[in-house]
Amino acid sequence: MTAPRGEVRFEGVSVRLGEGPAEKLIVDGCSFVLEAGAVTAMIGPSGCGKSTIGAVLAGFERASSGRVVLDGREVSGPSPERQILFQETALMPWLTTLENVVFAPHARRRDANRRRRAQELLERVGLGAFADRYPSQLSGGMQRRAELARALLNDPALLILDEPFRGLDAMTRELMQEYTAELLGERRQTTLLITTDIDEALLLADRVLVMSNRPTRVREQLDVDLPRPRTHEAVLADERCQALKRHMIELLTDEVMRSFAAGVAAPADHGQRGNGAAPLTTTTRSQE
Amino acid sequence: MNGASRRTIVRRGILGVLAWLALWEVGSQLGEWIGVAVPLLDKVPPPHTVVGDLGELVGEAGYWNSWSLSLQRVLWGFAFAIAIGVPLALLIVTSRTFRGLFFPIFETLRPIPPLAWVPLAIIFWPTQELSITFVTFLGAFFPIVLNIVDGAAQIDRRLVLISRSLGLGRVGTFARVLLPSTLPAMVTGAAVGMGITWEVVVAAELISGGGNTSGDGGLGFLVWNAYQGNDLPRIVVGMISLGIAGYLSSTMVRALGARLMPWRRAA
Repeated sequence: MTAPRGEVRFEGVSVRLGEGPAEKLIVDGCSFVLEAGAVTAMIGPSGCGKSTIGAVLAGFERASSGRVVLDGREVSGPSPERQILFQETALMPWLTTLENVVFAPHARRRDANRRRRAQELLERVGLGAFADRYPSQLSGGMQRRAELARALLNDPALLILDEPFRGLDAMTRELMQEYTAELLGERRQTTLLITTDIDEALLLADRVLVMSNRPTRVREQLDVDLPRPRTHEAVLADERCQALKRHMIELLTDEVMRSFAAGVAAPADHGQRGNGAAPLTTTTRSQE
Repeated sequence: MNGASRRTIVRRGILGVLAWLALWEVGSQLGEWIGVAVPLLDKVPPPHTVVGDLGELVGEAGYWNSWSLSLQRVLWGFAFAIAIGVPLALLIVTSRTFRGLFFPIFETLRPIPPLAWVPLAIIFWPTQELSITFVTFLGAFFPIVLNIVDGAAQIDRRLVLISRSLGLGRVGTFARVLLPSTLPAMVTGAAVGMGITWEVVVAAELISGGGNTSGDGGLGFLVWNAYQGNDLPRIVVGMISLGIAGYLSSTMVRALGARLMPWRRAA
Protein backbone atom coordinates (compact mmCIF):
# COMPACT_ATOMS: atom_id res chain seq x y z
CA MET A 1 0.00 0.00 0.00
CA THR A 2 1.29 3.44 -0.89
CA ALA A 3 1.64 6.22 1.66
CA PRO A 4 -1.68 7.93 2.28
CA ARG A 5 -2.32 11.14 0.38
CA GLY A 6 -4.39 14.11 1.30
CA GLU A 7 -2.60 16.15 3.94
CA VAL A 8 -4.59 19.36 4.16
CA ARG A 9 -3.30 22.55 5.74
CA PHE A 10 -5.90 25.19 6.39
CA GLU A 11 -3.79 28.28 7.02
CA GLY A 12 -5.30 31.40 8.58
CA VAL A 13 -8.43 31.18 6.47
CA SER A 14 -11.10 33.85 6.82
CA VAL A 15 -14.36 33.72 4.88
CA ARG A 16 -16.78 36.57 4.38
CA LEU A 17 -20.13 35.85 2.76
CA GLY A 18 -22.78 38.23 1.52
CA GLU A 19 -22.33 41.67 0.02
CA GLY A 20 -22.42 45.23 1.30
CA PRO A 21 -24.15 45.68 4.63
CA ALA A 22 -25.22 42.01 4.60
CA GLU A 23 -21.59 40.88 4.53
CA LYS A 24 -20.68 38.63 7.43
CA LEU A 25 -17.50 37.17 8.75
CA ILE A 26 -18.21 33.44 8.95
CA VAL A 27 -14.72 31.97 9.43
CA ASP A 28 -12.13 34.00 11.27
CA GLY A 29 -8.45 33.23 10.73
CA CYS A 30 -8.99 29.53 11.13
CA SER A 31 -6.05 27.13 10.99
CA PHE A 32 -5.82 23.36 11.27
CA VAL A 33 -4.18 20.35 9.69
CA LEU A 34 -5.93 17.26 8.39
CA GLU A 35 -3.51 14.40 8.70
CA ALA A 36 -3.14 12.23 5.61
CA GLY A 37 -4.98 8.93 5.87
CA ALA A 38 -6.82 9.94 9.03
CA VAL A 39 -10.42 10.85 9.79
CA THR A 40 -10.78 14.25 11.42
CA ALA A 41 -14.14 15.21 12.86
CA MET A 42 -15.18 18.83 13.07
CA ILE A 43 -17.79 19.44 15.72
CA GLY A 44 -19.42 22.67 16.74
CA PRO A 45 -22.73 24.40 17.34
CA SER A 46 -24.89 24.29 14.23
CA GLY A 47 -24.72 27.47 12.23
CA CYS A 48 -21.18 28.16 13.45
CA GLY A 49 -19.62 27.97 9.99
CA LYS A 50 -18.48 24.35 9.74
CA SER A 51 -20.28 23.83 6.46
CA THR A 52 -18.65 26.97 5.08
CA ILE A 53 -15.27 25.43 5.86
CA GLY A 54 -16.43 22.29 4.02
CA ALA A 55 -17.49 24.43 1.05
CA VAL A 56 -14.08 26.17 0.99
CA LEU A 57 -12.30 22.81 1.01
CA ALA A 58 -14.57 21.54 -1.79
CA GLY A 59 -13.84 24.74 -3.73
CA PHE A 60 -17.42 26.07 -3.77
CA GLU A 61 -16.54 29.13 -1.69
CA ARG A 62 -13.42 31.25 -1.74
CA ALA A 63 -11.33 32.14 1.26
CA SER A 64 -11.22 35.93 1.71
CA SER A 65 -7.75 35.54 3.17
CA GLY A 66 -5.43 32.70 4.09
CA ARG A 67 -4.82 29.61 2.00
CA VAL A 68 -5.70 25.95 1.63
CA VAL A 69 -2.81 23.62 0.88
CA LEU A 70 -3.33 20.03 -0.22
CA ASP A 71 -0.24 17.81 -0.32
CA GLY A 72 1.96 20.87 -0.69
CA ARG A 73 -0.07 22.61 -3.42
CA GLU A 74 -2.35 25.56 -2.84
CA VAL A 75 -5.83 24.70 -4.11
CA SER A 76 -9.01 26.56 -5.05
CA GLY A 77 -12.10 25.78 -7.09
CA PRO A 78 -13.87 22.40 -7.32
CA SER A 79 -11.87 19.36 -8.38
CA PRO A 80 -12.35 15.58 -8.50
CA GLU A 81 -9.50 15.24 -5.98
CA ARG A 82 -11.77 16.76 -3.32
CA GLN A 83 -15.17 15.08 -3.01
CA ILE A 84 -18.05 16.09 -0.75
CA LEU A 85 -21.20 14.42 0.60
CA PHE A 86 -23.93 16.84 1.57
CA GLN A 87 -26.52 16.59 4.32
CA GLU A 88 -29.19 15.43 1.91
CA THR A 89 -28.78 13.03 -0.95
CA ALA A 90 -27.49 14.59 -4.17
CA LEU A 91 -27.78 11.79 -6.68
CA MET A 92 -29.05 12.65 -10.15
CA PRO A 93 -32.66 11.38 -10.04
CA TRP A 94 -32.68 10.60 -13.78
CA LEU A 95 -29.70 8.25 -13.64
CA THR A 96 -29.50 4.70 -12.30
CA THR A 97 -27.20 3.92 -9.39
CA LEU A 98 -24.39 2.73 -11.64
CA GLU A 99 -24.78 5.69 -14.01
CA ASN A 100 -24.57 7.99 -11.01
CA VAL A 101 -21.39 6.34 -9.80
CA VAL A 102 -19.70 6.74 -13.19
CA PHE A 103 -21.06 10.29 -13.66
CA ALA A 104 -17.65 11.98 -13.69
CA PRO A 105 -16.39 12.50 -17.26
CA HIS A 106 -13.11 10.69 -16.65
CA ALA A 107 -15.07 7.81 -15.11
CA ARG A 108 -17.26 7.48 -18.20
CA ARG A 109 -14.55 6.60 -20.64
CA ARG A 110 -15.43 3.36 -22.29
CA ASP A 111 -12.87 1.69 -20.21
CA ALA A 112 -13.89 -1.77 -19.08
CA ASN A 113 -11.66 -1.30 -16.05
CA ARG A 114 -13.61 1.73 -14.85
CA ARG A 115 -16.95 -0.01 -15.22
CA ARG A 116 -15.64 -3.00 -13.35
CA ARG A 117 -14.25 -0.78 -10.58
CA ALA A 118 -17.59 1.00 -10.31
CA GLN A 119 -19.41 -2.31 -10.09
CA GLU A 120 -16.88 -3.53 -7.51
CA LEU A 121 -17.35 -0.39 -5.45
CA LEU A 122 -21.10 -0.88 -5.57
CA GLU A 123 -20.63 -4.46 -4.38
CA ARG A 124 -18.36 -3.15 -1.64
CA VAL A 125 -21.03 -0.76 -0.38
CA GLY A 126 -23.65 -3.49 -0.65
CA LEU A 127 -25.48 -2.13 -3.69
CA GLY A 128 -24.34 -4.67 -6.27
CA ALA A 129 -27.91 -5.79 -6.91
CA PHE A 130 -29.18 -2.21 -7.17
CA ALA A 131 -26.94 -0.96 -9.99
CA ASP A 132 -29.88 -0.49 -12.36
CA ARG A 133 -32.30 1.08 -9.90
CA TYR A 134 -33.13 4.76 -9.79
CA PRO A 135 -32.30 6.76 -6.64
CA SER A 136 -35.99 7.09 -5.82
CA GLN A 137 -36.09 3.31 -5.49
CA LEU A 138 -33.32 3.27 -2.87
CA SER A 139 -33.68 3.83 0.86
CA GLY A 140 -31.96 6.81 2.51
CA GLY A 141 -29.06 4.66 3.71
CA MET A 142 -28.59 3.11 0.27
CA GLN A 143 -28.57 6.55 -1.36
CA ARG A 144 -25.79 7.63 1.03
CA ARG A 145 -23.77 4.53 0.15
CA ALA A 146 -24.24 5.12 -3.58
CA GLU A 147 -22.92 8.65 -3.12
CA LEU A 148 -20.00 7.30 -1.13
CA ALA A 149 -19.21 4.97 -4.04
CA ARG A 150 -19.46 7.86 -6.52
CA ALA A 151 -17.04 9.95 -4.46
CA LEU A 152 -14.59 7.08 -3.90
CA LEU A 153 -14.46 6.14 -7.60
CA ASN A 154 -12.56 9.42 -8.08
CA ASP A 155 -9.90 8.33 -5.61
CA PRO A 156 -10.17 11.66 -3.84
CA ALA A 157 -7.21 12.91 -1.84
CA LEU A 158 -9.76 14.42 0.53
CA LEU A 159 -13.29 13.28 1.34
CA ILE A 160 -15.57 15.82 3.02
CA LEU A 161 -18.62 14.45 4.81
CA ASP A 162 -20.95 17.31 5.74
CA GLU A 163 -23.33 15.83 8.33
CA PRO A 164 -23.97 12.95 5.97
CA PHE A 165 -26.14 10.88 8.32
CA ARG A 166 -28.37 13.66 9.53
CA GLY A 167 -31.51 12.77 7.57
CA LEU A 168 -31.42 9.03 8.36
CA ASP A 169 -33.52 7.29 10.97
CA ALA A 170 -31.74 6.30 14.19
CA MET A 171 -31.16 2.62 13.33
CA THR A 172 -29.93 3.28 9.80
CA ARG A 173 -27.72 6.09 11.04
CA GLU A 174 -25.98 3.83 13.53
CA LEU A 175 -25.38 1.16 10.92
CA MET A 176 -24.12 3.71 8.40
CA GLN A 177 -21.75 5.21 10.98
CA GLU A 178 -20.16 1.86 11.81
CA TYR A 179 -20.07 0.90 8.17
CA THR A 180 -18.43 4.16 7.11
CA ALA A 181 -15.90 3.93 9.93
CA GLU A 182 -14.84 0.53 8.61
CA LEU A 183 -14.71 1.60 4.96
CA LEU A 184 -12.66 4.75 5.62
CA GLY A 185 -10.27 2.96 7.96
CA GLU A 186 -9.67 0.19 5.45
CA ARG A 187 -8.89 2.66 2.63
CA ARG A 188 -6.90 5.04 4.82
CA GLN A 189 -8.97 7.77 3.26
CA THR A 190 -8.19 11.30 4.41
CA THR A 191 -11.58 12.51 5.60
CA LEU A 192 -13.13 15.57 7.20
CA LEU A 193 -16.35 14.65 8.99
CA ILE A 194 -18.50 17.66 9.82
CA THR A 195 -20.98 16.81 12.54
CA THR A 196 -22.94 17.99 15.57
CA ASP A 197 -23.05 14.48 17.00
CA ILE A 198 -20.38 13.75 19.66
CA ASP A 199 -20.91 9.98 19.56
CA GLU A 200 -20.50 10.01 15.81
CA ALA A 201 -17.24 11.94 16.12
CA LEU A 202 -15.91 9.48 18.71
CA LEU A 203 -16.88 6.49 16.60
CA LEU A 204 -15.30 7.65 13.38
CA ALA A 205 -12.52 10.11 14.09
CA ASP A 206 -8.85 9.87 14.89
CA ARG A 207 -8.92 13.50 15.91
CA VAL A 208 -11.67 15.96 16.76
CA LEU A 209 -11.62 19.71 16.12
CA VAL A 210 -14.03 21.45 18.45
CA MET A 211 -15.12 24.66 16.76
CA SER A 212 -16.08 27.94 18.32
CA ASN A 213 -19.13 29.99 17.64
CA ARG A 214 -19.40 32.11 14.51
CA PRO A 215 -17.10 33.59 13.28
CA THR A 216 -15.62 30.17 13.77
CA ARG A 217 -12.12 28.92 14.45
CA VAL A 218 -10.71 25.85 16.17
CA ARG A 219 -11.36 26.07 19.89
CA GLU A 220 -9.62 22.87 20.85
CA GLN A 221 -8.11 19.84 19.20
CA LEU A 222 -8.57 16.41 20.78
CA ASP A 223 -7.05 13.08 19.83
CA VAL A 224 -9.33 10.05 19.93
CA ASP A 225 -6.92 7.30 20.82
CA LEU A 226 -9.18 4.29 20.62
CA PRO A 227 -8.47 0.95 18.95
CA ARG A 228 -10.21 0.08 15.68
CA PRO A 229 -12.52 -1.34 14.56
CA ARG A 230 -14.85 0.60 16.84
CA THR A 231 -18.49 -0.09 17.51
CA HIS A 232 -21.08 2.01 19.28
CA GLU A 233 -21.01 -0.44 22.20
CA ALA A 234 -17.23 -0.28 22.54
CA VAL A 235 -17.19 3.51 22.41
CA LEU A 236 -19.94 3.76 25.01
CA ALA A 237 -18.14 1.34 27.33
CA ASP A 238 -14.69 2.96 27.09
CA GLU A 239 -13.75 5.16 30.03
CA ARG A 240 -11.36 7.48 28.18
CA CYS A 241 -14.12 7.96 25.72
CA GLN A 242 -16.53 8.99 28.42
CA ALA A 243 -14.00 11.52 29.69
CA LEU A 244 -13.52 12.91 26.17
CA LYS A 245 -17.23 13.10 25.72
CA ARG A 246 -17.74 15.02 28.97
CA HIS A 247 -15.00 17.41 27.99
CA MET A 248 -16.53 18.00 24.56
CA ILE A 249 -19.97 18.57 26.06
CA GLU A 250 -18.48 21.22 28.35
CA LEU A 251 -16.75 22.98 25.47
CA LEU A 252 -19.79 22.85 23.26
CA THR A 253 -22.23 23.91 25.95
CA ASP A 254 -20.02 26.90 26.54
CA GLU A 255 -20.07 27.77 22.82
CA VAL A 256 -23.81 27.25 22.55
CA MET A 257 -24.43 29.52 25.55
CA ARG A 258 -22.36 32.18 23.84
CA SER A 259 -24.22 31.82 20.62
CA PHE A 260 -27.51 32.14 22.53
CA ALA A 261 -26.22 35.30 24.16
CA ALA A 262 -25.05 36.62 20.79
CA GLY A 263 -28.42 35.71 19.31
CA VAL A 264 -30.22 37.79 21.93
CA ALA A 265 -27.84 40.70 21.48
CA ALA A 266 -27.98 40.70 17.69
CA PRO A 267 -31.47 39.83 16.46
CA ALA A 268 -30.47 40.95 12.95
CA ASP A 269 -28.62 37.66 12.69
CA HIS A 270 -31.88 35.78 12.32
CA GLY A 271 -32.32 33.52 9.38
CA GLN A 272 -28.77 33.76 8.15
CA ARG A 273 -27.24 30.36 7.44
CA GLY A 274 -28.54 28.10 10.15
CA ASN A 275 -30.39 29.46 13.10
CA GLY A 276 -27.75 30.55 15.54
CA ALA A 277 -27.98 27.93 18.21
CA ALA A 278 -29.59 24.60 17.61
CA PRO A 279 -29.52 21.83 20.17
CA LEU A 280 -26.54 19.55 20.23
CA THR A 281 -27.00 15.86 19.85
CA THR A 282 -25.18 14.13 22.63
CA THR A 283 -26.76 10.71 22.75
CA THR A 284 -28.42 9.87 19.48
CA ARG A 285 -29.78 6.60 20.75
CA SER A 286 -31.77 7.75 23.74
CA GLN A 287 -33.28 10.67 21.91
CA GLU A 288 -34.94 8.98 18.97
CA MET B 1 -49.94 2.39 -10.76
CA ASN B 2 -51.01 1.66 -7.25
CA GLY B 3 -53.92 -0.54 -6.47
CA ALA B 4 -56.08 -0.78 -9.57
CA SER B 5 -54.81 -2.71 -12.57
CA ARG B 6 -54.92 -1.34 -16.08
CA ARG B 7 -58.00 -3.40 -16.87
CA THR B 8 -59.89 -2.09 -13.87
CA ILE B 9 -59.03 1.46 -14.88
CA VAL B 10 -60.34 0.92 -18.42
CA ARG B 11 -63.50 -0.75 -17.08
CA ARG B 12 -64.13 2.15 -14.70
CA GLY B 13 -63.57 4.65 -17.49
CA ILE B 14 -66.12 2.95 -19.75
CA LEU B 15 -68.60 2.60 -16.88
CA GLY B 16 -68.21 6.31 -16.07
CA VAL B 17 -68.90 7.33 -19.66
CA LEU B 18 -71.98 5.05 -19.88
CA ALA B 19 -73.38 6.33 -16.59
CA TRP B 20 -72.87 9.89 -17.76
CA LEU B 21 -74.65 9.16 -21.06
CA ALA B 22 -77.57 7.58 -19.22
CA LEU B 23 -77.93 10.61 -16.94
CA TRP B 24 -77.81 12.89 -19.92
CA GLU B 25 -80.46 10.88 -21.80
CA VAL B 26 -82.79 10.79 -18.81
CA GLY B 27 -82.12 14.43 -17.93
CA SER B 28 -82.90 15.79 -21.36
CA GLN B 29 -86.01 13.60 -21.83
CA LEU B 30 -87.56 14.00 -18.40
CA GLY B 31 -89.57 17.04 -19.45
CA GLU B 32 -91.22 15.01 -22.22
CA TRP B 33 -91.72 11.87 -20.16
CA ILE B 34 -93.17 13.18 -16.90
CA GLY B 35 -93.43 16.90 -17.49
CA VAL B 36 -90.74 17.86 -15.01
CA ALA B 37 -87.98 19.59 -16.95
CA VAL B 38 -84.42 19.46 -15.65
CA PRO B 39 -82.94 22.96 -15.93
CA LEU B 40 -80.22 23.38 -18.61
CA LEU B 41 -80.23 19.70 -19.60
CA ASP B 42 -83.75 20.17 -20.93
CA LYS B 43 -82.37 22.35 -23.73
CA VAL B 44 -79.69 19.87 -24.73
CA PRO B 45 -80.51 17.28 -27.39
CA PRO B 46 -80.53 13.75 -25.91
CA PRO B 47 -77.61 11.44 -26.73
CA HIS B 48 -79.55 9.25 -29.15
CA THR B 49 -80.23 12.16 -31.51
CA VAL B 50 -76.61 13.30 -31.12
CA VAL B 51 -75.40 9.80 -31.96
CA GLY B 52 -77.72 9.81 -34.94
CA ASP B 53 -76.27 13.09 -36.11
CA LEU B 54 -72.78 11.85 -35.47
CA GLY B 55 -73.48 8.83 -37.67
CA GLU B 56 -74.54 11.21 -40.40
CA LEU B 57 -71.56 13.52 -39.91
CA VAL B 58 -69.03 10.73 -39.91
CA GLY B 59 -70.09 9.94 -43.44
CA GLU B 60 -69.39 13.49 -44.62
CA ALA B 61 -65.98 14.43 -45.96
CA GLY B 62 -66.36 17.92 -44.51
CA TYR B 63 -66.38 16.61 -40.96
CA TRP B 64 -63.06 14.82 -41.36
CA ASN B 65 -61.72 17.79 -43.22
CA SER B 66 -62.54 19.93 -40.20
CA TRP B 67 -60.68 17.51 -37.95
CA SER B 68 -57.67 17.55 -40.18
CA LEU B 69 -57.70 21.34 -40.55
CA SER B 70 -57.91 22.02 -36.82
CA LEU B 71 -55.38 19.31 -36.06
CA GLN B 72 -52.92 20.74 -38.55
CA ARG B 73 -53.25 24.23 -37.07
CA VAL B 74 -52.77 22.85 -33.56
CA LEU B 75 -49.79 20.70 -34.48
CA TRP B 76 -48.00 23.38 -36.47
CA GLY B 77 -48.59 26.01 -33.80
CA PHE B 78 -47.46 23.58 -31.13
CA ALA B 79 -44.39 22.46 -33.09
CA PHE B 80 -43.27 26.05 -33.61
CA ALA B 81 -43.92 26.83 -29.95
CA ILE B 82 -41.60 23.95 -28.97
CA ALA B 83 -38.99 24.74 -31.61
CA ILE B 84 -38.78 28.42 -30.64
CA GLY B 85 -39.87 28.30 -27.00
CA VAL B 86 -37.49 25.64 -25.69
CA PRO B 87 -34.22 27.19 -26.97
CA LEU B 88 -35.42 30.64 -25.95
CA ALA B 89 -36.26 29.47 -22.43
CA LEU B 90 -32.88 27.78 -22.13
CA LEU B 91 -31.18 31.00 -23.22
CA ILE B 92 -33.11 32.96 -20.59
CA VAL B 93 -32.12 30.39 -18.00
CA THR B 94 -28.42 30.25 -18.84
CA SER B 95 -27.56 33.82 -19.81
CA ARG B 96 -28.13 36.60 -17.35
CA THR B 97 -27.55 39.20 -20.05
CA PHE B 98 -30.14 37.67 -22.32
CA ARG B 99 -32.58 37.35 -19.46
CA GLY B 100 -32.14 41.02 -18.63
CA LEU B 101 -32.69 42.05 -22.25
CA PHE B 102 -35.57 39.78 -23.09
CA PHE B 103 -37.55 39.00 -19.95
CA PRO B 104 -39.28 42.38 -19.54
CA ILE B 105 -40.66 42.16 -23.09
CA PHE B 106 -41.71 38.59 -22.52
CA GLU B 107 -43.51 39.49 -19.31
CA THR B 108 -45.35 42.33 -21.05
CA LEU B 109 -46.53 40.20 -23.96
CA ARG B 110 -47.42 37.19 -21.85
CA PRO B 111 -50.58 38.55 -20.17
CA ILE B 112 -52.10 39.48 -23.54
CA PRO B 113 -54.71 36.75 -24.27
CA PRO B 114 -53.92 34.96 -27.55
CA LEU B 115 -57.37 35.95 -28.83
CA ALA B 116 -56.46 39.63 -28.55
CA TRP B 117 -53.81 38.87 -31.15
CA VAL B 118 -56.35 37.68 -33.73
CA PRO B 119 -57.06 41.04 -35.42
CA LEU B 120 -53.38 41.89 -35.67
CA ALA B 121 -52.56 38.37 -36.85
CA ILE B 122 -55.14 38.62 -39.62
CA ILE B 123 -53.64 41.90 -40.81
CA PHE B 124 -50.10 40.76 -40.28
CA TRP B 125 -50.03 37.36 -41.99
CA PRO B 126 -50.70 36.96 -45.71
CA THR B 127 -53.08 34.01 -45.37
CA GLN B 128 -55.89 33.17 -42.98
CA GLU B 129 -54.23 29.82 -42.33
CA LEU B 130 -51.02 31.45 -41.15
CA SER B 131 -52.96 33.86 -38.91
CA ILE B 132 -54.77 31.04 -37.14
CA THR B 133 -51.59 28.98 -36.79
CA PHE B 134 -49.76 32.00 -35.41
CA VAL B 135 -52.37 32.59 -32.72
CA THR B 136 -52.27 28.88 -31.87
CA PHE B 137 -48.51 29.12 -31.60
CA LEU B 138 -48.83 31.98 -29.11
CA GLY B 139 -51.18 29.92 -26.98
CA ALA B 140 -48.57 27.20 -26.48
CA PHE B 141 -45.46 29.38 -26.58
CA PHE B 142 -45.91 31.28 -23.31
CA PRO B 143 -46.71 28.35 -21.00
CA ILE B 144 -43.81 26.37 -22.47
CA VAL B 145 -41.27 29.16 -21.89
CA LEU B 146 -42.63 30.05 -18.50
CA ASN B 147 -42.64 26.47 -17.22
CA ILE B 148 -39.03 25.91 -18.25
CA VAL B 149 -37.86 29.17 -16.68
CA ASP B 150 -39.67 28.31 -13.44
CA GLY B 151 -38.41 24.74 -13.53
CA ALA B 152 -34.82 25.84 -13.97
CA ALA B 153 -35.12 28.18 -11.00
CA GLN B 154 -35.95 25.18 -8.85
CA ILE B 155 -32.95 23.10 -9.85
CA ASP B 156 -31.24 21.47 -6.91
CA ARG B 157 -28.11 23.60 -6.50
CA ARG B 158 -26.25 20.74 -4.90
CA LEU B 159 -26.50 18.71 -8.10
CA VAL B 160 -24.73 21.53 -9.94
CA LEU B 161 -22.05 21.77 -7.25
CA ILE B 162 -21.49 18.00 -7.25
CA SER B 163 -21.18 17.92 -11.04
CA ARG B 164 -18.49 20.59 -10.85
CA SER B 165 -16.71 18.58 -8.19
CA LEU B 166 -16.84 15.57 -10.48
CA GLY B 167 -15.05 17.58 -13.15
CA LEU B 168 -17.83 18.91 -15.39
CA GLY B 169 -17.42 22.32 -17.05
CA ARG B 170 -20.13 24.76 -18.10
CA VAL B 171 -21.18 22.82 -21.17
CA GLY B 172 -21.16 19.49 -19.36
CA THR B 173 -23.22 20.88 -16.50
CA PHE B 174 -25.71 22.32 -18.98
CA ALA B 175 -26.10 19.11 -20.93
CA ARG B 176 -25.96 16.61 -18.09
CA VAL B 177 -27.55 18.45 -15.16
CA LEU B 178 -29.58 21.43 -16.33
CA LEU B 179 -31.31 19.74 -19.30
CA PRO B 180 -32.44 16.60 -17.49
CA SER B 181 -33.41 18.68 -14.45
CA THR B 182 -35.72 20.89 -16.51
CA LEU B 183 -37.19 18.02 -18.55
CA PRO B 184 -40.18 17.54 -16.21
CA ALA B 185 -40.97 21.26 -16.50
CA MET B 186 -40.69 21.02 -20.29
CA VAL B 187 -43.20 18.19 -20.39
CA THR B 188 -45.58 20.06 -18.06
CA GLY B 189 -45.24 23.17 -20.22
CA ALA B 190 -45.91 21.12 -23.35
CA ALA B 191 -49.01 19.48 -21.84
CA VAL B 192 -50.41 22.82 -20.66
CA GLY B 193 -49.50 24.42 -24.00
CA MET B 194 -51.21 21.63 -25.93
CA GLY B 195 -54.41 22.18 -23.95
CA ILE B 196 -54.33 25.88 -24.70
CA THR B 197 -53.73 25.39 -28.44
CA TRP B 198 -57.11 23.64 -28.69
CA GLU B 199 -58.86 26.43 -26.83
CA VAL B 200 -57.20 28.99 -29.04
CA VAL B 201 -57.66 27.28 -32.38
CA VAL B 202 -61.41 27.03 -31.87
CA ALA B 203 -61.76 30.67 -30.93
CA ALA B 204 -59.53 31.74 -33.79
CA GLU B 205 -61.64 29.74 -36.22
CA LEU B 206 -64.82 31.30 -34.85
CA ILE B 207 -63.49 34.81 -35.25
CA SER B 208 -61.76 34.44 -38.56
CA GLY B 209 -64.57 32.48 -40.16
CA GLY B 210 -62.62 29.30 -40.55
CA GLY B 211 -60.62 30.23 -43.57
CA ASN B 212 -62.99 29.11 -46.29
CA THR B 213 -66.64 29.22 -47.13
CA SER B 214 -67.28 25.59 -47.95
CA GLY B 215 -68.30 24.82 -44.39
CA ASP B 216 -65.32 22.72 -43.42
CA GLY B 217 -63.20 25.39 -41.78
CA GLY B 218 -62.12 23.37 -38.76
CA LEU B 219 -63.94 21.96 -35.76
CA GLY B 220 -64.41 25.38 -34.19
CA PHE B 221 -65.97 26.64 -37.37
CA LEU B 222 -68.14 23.53 -37.54
CA VAL B 223 -69.64 24.42 -34.15
CA TRP B 224 -70.16 28.03 -35.22
CA ASN B 225 -71.76 26.99 -38.47
CA ALA B 226 -74.12 24.59 -36.70
CA TYR B 227 -75.11 27.38 -34.33
CA GLN B 228 -75.95 29.70 -37.22
CA GLY B 229 -77.98 26.94 -38.81
CA ASN B 230 -79.66 26.28 -35.43
CA ASP B 231 -78.59 22.64 -35.58
CA LEU B 232 -78.37 21.76 -31.90
CA PRO B 233 -77.25 18.10 -32.17
CA ARG B 234 -74.50 19.16 -34.55
CA ILE B 235 -73.23 21.75 -32.04
CA VAL B 236 -72.98 19.03 -29.43
CA VAL B 237 -71.22 16.66 -31.84
CA GLY B 238 -68.71 19.38 -32.65
CA MET B 239 -68.08 20.05 -28.98
CA ILE B 240 -67.59 16.38 -28.18
CA SER B 241 -65.23 16.04 -31.14
CA LEU B 242 -63.17 18.90 -29.72
CA GLY B 243 -63.16 17.25 -26.31
CA ILE B 244 -61.91 13.99 -27.78
CA ALA B 245 -59.28 15.79 -29.86
CA GLY B 246 -57.96 17.66 -26.80
CA TYR B 247 -58.00 14.52 -24.67
CA LEU B 248 -56.08 12.51 -27.26
CA SER B 249 -53.46 15.22 -27.76
CA SER B 250 -52.71 15.70 -24.06
CA THR B 251 -52.60 11.93 -23.57
CA MET B 252 -50.02 11.77 -26.33
CA VAL B 253 -47.91 14.52 -24.76
CA ARG B 254 -48.11 12.78 -21.38
CA ALA B 255 -47.18 9.40 -22.86
CA LEU B 256 -44.21 10.95 -24.62
CA GLY B 257 -43.20 12.61 -21.35
CA ALA B 258 -43.34 9.29 -19.50
CA ARG B 259 -41.15 7.78 -22.23
CA LEU B 260 -38.57 10.53 -21.86
CA MET B 261 -38.54 10.27 -18.06
CA PRO B 262 -38.39 6.59 -17.11
CA TRP B 263 -37.13 7.51 -13.62
CA ARG B 264 -40.50 9.07 -12.87
CA ARG B 265 -42.31 5.81 -13.46
CA ALA B 266 -39.98 4.02 -11.04
CA ALA B 267 -40.37 4.12 -7.27
